[in-house]
Amino acid sequence: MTDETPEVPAPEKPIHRKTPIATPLVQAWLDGEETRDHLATADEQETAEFWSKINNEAAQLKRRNTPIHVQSRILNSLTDIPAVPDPPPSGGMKLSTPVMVIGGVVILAIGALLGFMLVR
Amino acid sequence: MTTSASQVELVDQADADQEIIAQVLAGSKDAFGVLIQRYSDPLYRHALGMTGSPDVAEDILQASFIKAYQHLGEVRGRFDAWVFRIVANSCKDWLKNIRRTHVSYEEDDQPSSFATPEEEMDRNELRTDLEYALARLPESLREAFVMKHVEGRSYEEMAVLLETTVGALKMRVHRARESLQALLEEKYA
Repeated sequence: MTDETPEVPAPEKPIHRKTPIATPLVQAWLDGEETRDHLATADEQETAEFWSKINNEAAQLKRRNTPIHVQSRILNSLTDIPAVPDPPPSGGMKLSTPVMVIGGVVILAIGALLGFMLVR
Repeated sequence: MTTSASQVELVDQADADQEIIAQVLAGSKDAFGVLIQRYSDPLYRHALGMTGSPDVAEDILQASFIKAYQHLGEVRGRFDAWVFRIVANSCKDWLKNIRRTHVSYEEDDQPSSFATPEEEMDRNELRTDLEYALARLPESLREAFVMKHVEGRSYEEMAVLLETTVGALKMRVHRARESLQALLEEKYA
């Protein structure tokens, strides 16, 4: 039997949290599933206060719209593009009309030849 | 199970989009402008939230709509979800590229978006810090946080757009909040 020393977790760096971590209730409030009134503890209120600042900033971004010139720039850029193409073929090679006609004639000739041989 | 008003609205919107797509495919290039007008704002906000740069967001939006136009015949299902995925993938590609080239957000030119001079300095600082903290999140957490907090989407809508479950997205958003809080609280708590 080996002399095992009990496993001691490595000492973690002290975490200097100024704001308590968001509890499930705070997360639910942030998800819009609870009202702030339901946050009962001082810690939860503190976390909510922190997130209010972040949400205020996010709200600024929420009001950002596409600059007007961008929409017209996109539309103008489409004029250089040829008509909307059909969906590209999935793999297989593209056959030109003459090749298809010649192919058709060859298939017909082979069919006729086989038919002739069968009749004889 | 009852059908909510928002679901009915979504179906109506999808039908309306399909009509416009048919017009564009029939040769009406201008009809595509309706789709641009309808969806550019939420897509722009997504690109802005993900990249932190208005210039990059504009470029991604333009390239995405051009790509959508060129491949419009391939749309299956909802156009808004399809075009969202084009933008979202472009943002992720850009983020991968910018991380590879070690360009930080602080090097980006970001014109001020605040009109109130008293708060502009503080808010610009908070915004810069928030963007910096967001940039340090894994892409999937950042994407979920931006869609929830910046774009204000519901989890149900996010689940449709990202083709995943509401539970998985809640988990991502919660983890993103915890990480952001840890990154920001020293300064703003």
